[in-house]
Amino acid sequence: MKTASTIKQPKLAPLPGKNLAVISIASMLLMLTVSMIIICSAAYDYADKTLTFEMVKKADSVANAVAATMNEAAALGIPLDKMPAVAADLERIRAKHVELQRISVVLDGVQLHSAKLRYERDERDERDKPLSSLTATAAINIVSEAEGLQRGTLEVIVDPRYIKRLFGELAIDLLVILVVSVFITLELIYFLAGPIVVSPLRSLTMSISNLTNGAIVGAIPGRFPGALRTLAMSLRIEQDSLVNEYRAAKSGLRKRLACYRACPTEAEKIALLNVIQQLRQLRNQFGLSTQTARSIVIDPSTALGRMRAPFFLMLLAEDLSRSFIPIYASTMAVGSLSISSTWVVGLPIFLFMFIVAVSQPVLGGWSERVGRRRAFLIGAICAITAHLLAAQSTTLAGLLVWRGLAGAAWAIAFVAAQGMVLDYTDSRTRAKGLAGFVSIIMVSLACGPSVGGLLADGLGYRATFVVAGVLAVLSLIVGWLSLPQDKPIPTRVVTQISTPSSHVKPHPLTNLKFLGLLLLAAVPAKLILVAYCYFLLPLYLTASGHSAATSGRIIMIYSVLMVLFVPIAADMLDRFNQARRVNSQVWFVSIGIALSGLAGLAMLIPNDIVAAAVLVSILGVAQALSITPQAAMVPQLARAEIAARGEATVYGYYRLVERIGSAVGPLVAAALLQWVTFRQSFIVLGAIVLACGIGFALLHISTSTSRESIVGEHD
Amino acid sequence: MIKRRQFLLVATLAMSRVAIAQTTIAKPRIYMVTWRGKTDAEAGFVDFWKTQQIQPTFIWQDAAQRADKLAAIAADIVQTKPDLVYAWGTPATLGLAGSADKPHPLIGSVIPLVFAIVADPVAANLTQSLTSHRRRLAGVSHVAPMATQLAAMQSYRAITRLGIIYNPLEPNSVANVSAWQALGRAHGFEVVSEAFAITNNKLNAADANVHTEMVARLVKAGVNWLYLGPDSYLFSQLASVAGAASAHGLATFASVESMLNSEAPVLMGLVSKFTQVGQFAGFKAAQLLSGERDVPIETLKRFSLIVRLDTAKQIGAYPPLSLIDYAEFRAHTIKS
Repeated sequence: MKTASTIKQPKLAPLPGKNLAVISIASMLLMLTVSMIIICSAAYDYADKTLTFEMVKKADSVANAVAATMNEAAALGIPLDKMPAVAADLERIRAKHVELQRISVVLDGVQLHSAKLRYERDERDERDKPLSSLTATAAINIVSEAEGLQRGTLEVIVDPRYIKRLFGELAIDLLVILVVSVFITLELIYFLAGPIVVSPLRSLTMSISNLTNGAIVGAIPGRFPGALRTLAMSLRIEQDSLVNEYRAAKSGLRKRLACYRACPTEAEKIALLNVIQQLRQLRNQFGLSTQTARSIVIDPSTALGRMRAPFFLMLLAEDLSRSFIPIYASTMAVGSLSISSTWVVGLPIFLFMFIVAVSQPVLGGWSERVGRRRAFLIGAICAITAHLLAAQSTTLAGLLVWRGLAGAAWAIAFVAAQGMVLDYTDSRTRAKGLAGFVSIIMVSLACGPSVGGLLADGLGYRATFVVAGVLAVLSLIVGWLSLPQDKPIPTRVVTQISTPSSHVKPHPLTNLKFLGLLLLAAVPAKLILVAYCYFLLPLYLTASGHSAATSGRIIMIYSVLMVLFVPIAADMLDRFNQARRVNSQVWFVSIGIALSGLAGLAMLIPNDIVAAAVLVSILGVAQALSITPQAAMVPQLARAEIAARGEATVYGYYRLVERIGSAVGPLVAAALLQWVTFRQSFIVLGAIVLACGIGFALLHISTSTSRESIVGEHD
Repeated sequence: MIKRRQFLLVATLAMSRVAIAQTTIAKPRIYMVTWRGKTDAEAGFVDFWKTQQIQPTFIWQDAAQRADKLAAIAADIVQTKPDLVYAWGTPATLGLAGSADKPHPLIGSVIPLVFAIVADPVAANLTQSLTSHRRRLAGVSHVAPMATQLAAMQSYRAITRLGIIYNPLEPNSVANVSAWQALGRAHGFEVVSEAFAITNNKLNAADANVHTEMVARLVKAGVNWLYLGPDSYLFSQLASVAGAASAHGLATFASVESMLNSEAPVLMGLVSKFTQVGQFAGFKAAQLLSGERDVPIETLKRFSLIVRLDTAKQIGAYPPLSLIDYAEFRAHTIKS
């Protein structure tokens, strides 16, 4: 008899009402966006009214203070026209207040002395507010040797461009809040709708689809909330009664067979054999058995959905401190260590990255042994400890220990979540699974630092670490409740491949194709990302006179584009794969890497901010194209190594080498900066990565037989 | 209204009531030795005791700027055995307590001594250390640190070349010139010095014309500031030196308050007020009387930036706007 698992797996039917769900989610997001826009505009309007007023008030107090000094000088009989460097002194006062454009001493409509902010471009913007509304004045006594005592005016003018810039920043801040709230709402919808509605519905759809396709004895999960449970139960009753009927028919037939064996006539025998034949056909057709299946196959997408919320919370907890960890480190007591401040601010990040990199190969095998669920929960406990104790740290040594533990926690959670994706996907669904995994990381990266920055501004650094600890506690609770206990039934061909006959286990780093993937794709991708986004861009923008917050916002474009484009790219890849026309993965990776390199050309745009934004946007789209196919290619290129050493270990090597790229990125960029300018550094680095992309394509073109390497696994 | 720096001093001094409560001497006798009569420093010193529970008896002696008279005063001190000796200025203090390598057997050891208005106790070889000198000797220096004086001068007008006129026979003044030269090298300006003429190791008779020539040479050398150091002889010749500077439109900077109080047209100075120096010396005297050892020799932490507007008008060098809120303007308010 065939078992349920040998029946051809039906293609996953679309969820009933899927479009309705998409429409509902879209309308919820639309409503949220609209209400956020209304709130933001109200906040913007309020700021418009109060901010300008506050600025003019500040200018007024500066005017009064300077006027008091000038009046004192006049009272002492010091002639203003004999006073040295009045303009320089006024300029010193003006420079102390960034919001001031000009301070002038005016007598009878003539400017005697003036200190004025010099713009890079001197023309005045037509849209600037009229200066009269931004001017504070104070009456002053002026003594001159020729004219004696006269009454003049001190004018202090607020810089309209400063106000405009402030509003620009405010608008961007509000936009950031908007994006973050949309992302977090979406995660909340996934979390709430997933276990309550989508997962049960998907399971039931799968069960019904199995029943429809003839797998009548397949197990029907029933632990659903509300009406779905009733539906599942009634299906089970139907299934049980069908099995009972089959059982009864079978035993009736057996009796009749015994009876007819005793006195057979040829016609009755033939009739009986026909009935048996029909019953066999029915059994074969519907997978009938006298027992119903008890083991429940976990639906891969359900399992991945369950991983999403705890993993997101864990990453968000870590990403909260990303925007301020160097500043927080600089407040720590160094003790007797003689260590420069550059090192103090860099050490916690370095240690975190280092631990994440070196622990990948080790953690892969460990997480497979102890189970993804248990590994993730251990990671969450480490994260809770690390964040809460980092909040208490007063010394650099203490902070380093807790940041190291946070690195270990992050790596454990990353490997466990990645392992879950690998466990529950095959080559057909892997790119999509990894895309989901990457998008969780990107959503957290887009939200975490900005939310963390806001929290740190409002509550302080230590309190933000406490919030991170609380998020890690939530991650532990949600993980405990939702992560699947069971391992999926292996469906992948790769796991069924027998280990090579020789006792020598092939090392993944001796596989040239795999090495090519590492050195021509994984390393350049991470290298250019870290070198551009986390090293060159912040330095370049700071050197061009922009704030650290500006570079933070520009880098956020990268995360947002990744969140948007990673699923699109994964879908496209899926479609190309199904069409089986070309070796899609190779092309996606090659084009993605090459495009990352071409992003450097954005630096030819003269405007700093526009150049940076275009560069980051191209980089976001490029990385979205390559990031998931790249990881999904690992099992194709290192099949024998995976069979010998396990998937987790090979992925561990992949992540280790990839992260070496991250670590080397700033070093390469710093070395380039020694020789050439900022803009040239971007372009040279881009050219190197472009060459890697072309090299990767060439490496595969020679051996690419269009479909063999992609579809071989599931054919 | 009490200014902030005055408040700080008052607060410090008020604390002294606690410190000297331990004293065992019910009515101490303090032997006051002045150099050229009573100054504001002594007034401040006496004022300090008015706020204390213990009221000392003061015995006054003036050396009248004569070193030979100091020996007799010292002998009188040894004979009368006061509880504490007060000395004004470097010559009187050195004459009574002796130098660090040749200390008086009783004064500054058995009989404690407190001094005021000593520009540089280490350079004068009164002590080798300001904090752990192991003598029953303490006091207050009245000169602001050189870097602070430099910053004050620069805030009025940048120094191109700094001129110094000094007495080559006063070790303090010679050390002062070297220190300014070092500071000039560090801050990128040249120091041009003019010493009062000496013959057979004695100063020549004072001559206003000679002083005018000295100033003229400095002006010719491109000096735009004349520094008036804590030099007793220079102080005695201040009228002619500062007068000549004023005639050449040369800005003058005083290191001690008495120069700014004189009739001589000095432009500005960063100084300790003598009254405050005297009050602080009173506080140190109380510490010595209570039996404390190694009482540190200190300078005040706050100084007064004083500008003489009459001189400013004379030489046509008015203060910049940035100084109006900080400086104390003296002399005649200029009415245009």
